[in-house]
Amino acid sequence: MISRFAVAALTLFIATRVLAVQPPPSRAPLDPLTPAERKVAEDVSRADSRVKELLGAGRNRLVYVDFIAIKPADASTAPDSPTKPLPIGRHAEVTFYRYDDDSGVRAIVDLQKRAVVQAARIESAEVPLNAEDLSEALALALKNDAVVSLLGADAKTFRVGDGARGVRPRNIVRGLRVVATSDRDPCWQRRCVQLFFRRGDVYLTDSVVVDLTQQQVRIERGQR
Amino acid sequence: MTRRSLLIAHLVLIVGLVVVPMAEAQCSGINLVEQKFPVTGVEQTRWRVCWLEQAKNGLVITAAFFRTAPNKPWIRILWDGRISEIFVPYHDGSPRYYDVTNFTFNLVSVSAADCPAALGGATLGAHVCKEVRDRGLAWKDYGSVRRGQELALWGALGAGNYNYVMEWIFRDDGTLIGRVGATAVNLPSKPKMPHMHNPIWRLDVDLNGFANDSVAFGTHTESGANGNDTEPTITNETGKDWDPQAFNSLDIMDSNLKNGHGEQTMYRLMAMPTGGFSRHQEAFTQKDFWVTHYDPSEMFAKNLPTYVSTPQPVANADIVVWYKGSLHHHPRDEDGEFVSGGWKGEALIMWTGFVLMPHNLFDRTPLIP
Repeated sequence: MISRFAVAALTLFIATRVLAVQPPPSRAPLDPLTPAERKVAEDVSRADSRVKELLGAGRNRLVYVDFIAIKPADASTAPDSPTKPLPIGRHAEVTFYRYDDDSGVRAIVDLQKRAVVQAARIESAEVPLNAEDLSEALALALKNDAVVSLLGADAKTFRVGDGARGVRPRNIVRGLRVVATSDRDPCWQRRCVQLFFRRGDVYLTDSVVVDLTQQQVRIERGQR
Repeated sequence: MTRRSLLIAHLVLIVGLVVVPMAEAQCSGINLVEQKFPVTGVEQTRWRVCWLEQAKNGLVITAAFFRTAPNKPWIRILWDGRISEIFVPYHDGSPRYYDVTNFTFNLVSVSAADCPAALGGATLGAHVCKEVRDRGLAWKDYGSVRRGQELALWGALGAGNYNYVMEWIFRDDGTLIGRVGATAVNLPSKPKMPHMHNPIWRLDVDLNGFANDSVAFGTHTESGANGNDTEPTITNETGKDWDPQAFNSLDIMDSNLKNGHGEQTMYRLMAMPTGGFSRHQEAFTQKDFWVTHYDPSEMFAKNLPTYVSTPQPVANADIVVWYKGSLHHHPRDEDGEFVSGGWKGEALIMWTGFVLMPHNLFDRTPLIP
């Protein structure tokens, strides 16, 4: 006679054993990159001779690593159904910024082969600013006496806003890239960010422009 | 049931759940969204969608398949759909922001307040809302009526002082809609300065697979009492103007995809403008539609004039279509007010977008008994 307890125990035992021999879950072709895949993409691209050459010997920064789907070379013969994944492998797009000549490098990494399959130099406009640029700009701004005077006694409490986390400190700073449209603009061919300061639910109309290339800071008066 | 059969049933269940692999998919977990219509009752149509959150582009659709009936094959509609750029020039000439490609902006957090379950909402991770909702009347014929339903996926890109709500809508009748809503706070340094928000979508439409797609340019004309519609095929990469009186559309078709009557199936890309279309000094804003050959390195809307400068053939090819919408934001007191040296207020959301409408995809009117 088999008791209910025995049935439950046996079921649990079998499930545990079967689960123990299952391989780790693999990524579907269009799933987001894992942190480990991002690290591989950065490491592989930094080690690649072509990328090294394109980056040069000067200061550079990793701007982002993101997923990219590349269609099969022979798309006409590939099966195309939501239940038959295409043989597209896993790829990452890696973008770097070069400070010395205000340009960038874009590499496509085949994560399965752990190899760079494409590397090219890109112009400055195609290299976005990232959160690190914003933090650097805020740090530079807060070393400037005029900026501290503008912000007042709580100047040092301003933090870079991170809307992705859903928690908003009272004093935050948000940034937009300054796109110079003529050589009369001090940010012409430089990496500049304009900082906007928000105290509670009020933005200051005066803003701060930080030139990350020249490490300079200036206040821009807002319109009323 | 005997205890022995109970044991066997348990074993079969466990082995079935754990050992037998699930049907393979192109994406998984929260990034795979499958929705049948109607939501309750016997299935008539179904969407299967993969999405990703990407730095810069925000909410990206990486695959969209539609099925006109449970016994019909899946048809790929999109390989990739994304907002390639949101170009924001201010009326005094500066600044001129590229809100998608200038910064690695991320989607901001969404909560139950954004995405209430009582209204069909469910959050997918921390940044994306899925809504399955009533879309109003699908059709009405005197006393007979059918309300439609749709699946919407949306996330909001935190672009500095602005938020851009990126919404992708998949309707029960196979229609796909893309919208961008601009909201949050006017530029703090110039909160009263009029400006434009120009989202440019890059739509890698792959009807029935990648190859053999063509695009026709739909145009309506009037001559006397007669109307006339033409659809010449676009043979080479190019940009096109949208004329409201010509009802221009990009009609995308696959040479091998026909419905049960042998009629050519198309997806018609139509403008869903909000007031008008902008033209700025930047060359890529001089056209409303663009057609290019697929190239994975061609992702930047502002480079479109370069992409088509040596036009490649786009008939019976793997094509990508682009569409530019415009929002003319003339600030008003409803946007906010000056308070003690600062600016306080929220710009109420304004939308613009496009419609991809099926044409001869079904053999008969969908959603009727």
